[in-house]
Amino acid sequence: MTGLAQVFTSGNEAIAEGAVAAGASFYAGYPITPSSEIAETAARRLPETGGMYVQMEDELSSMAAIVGASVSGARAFTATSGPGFSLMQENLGMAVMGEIPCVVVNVQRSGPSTGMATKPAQGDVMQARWGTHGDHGIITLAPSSVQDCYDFTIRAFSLADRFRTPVILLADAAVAKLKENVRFRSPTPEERAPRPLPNCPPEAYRPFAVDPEEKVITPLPPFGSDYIFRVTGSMHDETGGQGASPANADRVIRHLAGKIEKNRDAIVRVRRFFLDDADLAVIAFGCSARSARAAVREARRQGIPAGLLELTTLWPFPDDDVRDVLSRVRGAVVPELNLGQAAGEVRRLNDFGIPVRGISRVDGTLIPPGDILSALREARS
Amino acid sequence: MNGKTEIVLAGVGGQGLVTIGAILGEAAVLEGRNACLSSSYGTEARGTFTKSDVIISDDEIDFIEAEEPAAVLCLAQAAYDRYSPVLGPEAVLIYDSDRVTPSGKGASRETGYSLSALADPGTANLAALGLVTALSGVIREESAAEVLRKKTASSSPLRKGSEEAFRKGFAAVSL
Repeated sequence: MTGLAQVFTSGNEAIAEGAVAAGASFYAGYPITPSSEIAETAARRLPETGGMYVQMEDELSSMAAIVGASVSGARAFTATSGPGFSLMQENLGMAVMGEIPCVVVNVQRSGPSTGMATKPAQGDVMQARWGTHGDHGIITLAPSSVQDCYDFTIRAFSLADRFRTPVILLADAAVAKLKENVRFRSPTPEERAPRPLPNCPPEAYRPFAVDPEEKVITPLPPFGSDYIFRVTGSMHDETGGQGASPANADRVIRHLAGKIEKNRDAIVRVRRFFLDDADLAVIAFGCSARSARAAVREARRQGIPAGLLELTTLWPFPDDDVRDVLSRVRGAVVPELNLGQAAGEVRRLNDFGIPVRGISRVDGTLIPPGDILSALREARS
Repeated sequence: MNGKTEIVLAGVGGQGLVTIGAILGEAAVLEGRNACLSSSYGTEARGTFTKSDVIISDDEIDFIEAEEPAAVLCLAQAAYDRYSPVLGPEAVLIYDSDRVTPSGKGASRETGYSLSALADPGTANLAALGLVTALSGVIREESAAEVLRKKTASSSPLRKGSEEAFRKGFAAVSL
């Protein structure tokens, strides 16, 4: 991996290259700033690798198309920004309910609505979690570098297949438009592994069978194989048939949440910088984690024992890691380009009564490291 | 700052600043260094203030925007007015004398060049890249030239004559 040449490219292009490397063969989307280079790159690269790119009429159909492609066995993805992500929520819910793997990239820009198309924001944290209605689990990854854009896209497909779920790659305009050096490594065989096939005869296959421990996720064979199954957004039993009994509904909804919650160990990832001896912690993700890293490094130079917990998985929220950090420090700072969406989650986990201060910025500009440094100084005094 | 150099390329949309920022970054990566380019612009394709921050470093790059630029290129009056009053004493400011009237206050570290005398309008940004490369010394002339040759050979929108314009800009500094 270290021998591989570095290229200088954008987060958006790295996302599309990551998808191609992961074996994605289908993209359907409607270009939107600041994510358009993903569509542009996918349009060029997928046909070169035997895949298909479809420019759709809108984001509703884009989401529907990738769900259909995924059911047929393809690794499928789409990319958008806030306005389009809003339109995708209905069919995203269909993918949740039908347990259909897919990857949805949301390059966050300033909102609500059309907002400021070229300006970065991190305001879709809760939308990624709860944008589609009803209780469910979801996986959301947050890249903070162009290398992350590449690596996390590969991981997103792998997680989607493994847990039969949509995975949201929650990038932001700053990281997606950023150009920096990146290595386009080859994915591991596990990362490119085809979806497992059922090990039972076709007539015994129950596509929505649930292991109560959520250790085994029932495989999803491609549509058109000998394994016949029905996909529906309505409440269904283990065969995919109507299943609106209270007992069945309870089982299904607990499963949709539980298959994510009970597999946190395999899903949740964080990065720790200088946390071992820290008595102040910055907790950040995406572009704000870059500001935070600079602030923490400068704090250390000035003799302030600060550390950084970078949340590279946002959902499920890294409860254990956050709680562990909060239990060791005297104060925490949560910088983000929204009015406190992650800070609220951190406070939910603050059983230790320490001050947790948010740094919120919603003017379309990045948080300067100096702002975080000031907050660390104040937290210390 | 331990092998880190920040450069700001500022002007208005349509002048090709993001393009030359990417060439600087790519040339630095070719030299085995870390580089990042972040750009700020409006929704308009042309005409409004835009800036590209290029950071080149031997270490990992944390914050992606320039905080203490060593060199600032200003291809519009709005860019000059924004940066000239706030630059540190060590920084170099390069401006297009066809478009910028200097205030005179920072004269010791500000240098104007007429881009129209160095290149035609289609490659003026490359001439400006030559100036920035020579004055900042942040990358080698040949690294940028190599990236330019690669880009003009591919399907990129870079025009023929780009390398010549770059060389002319570079040479103008030593005149």
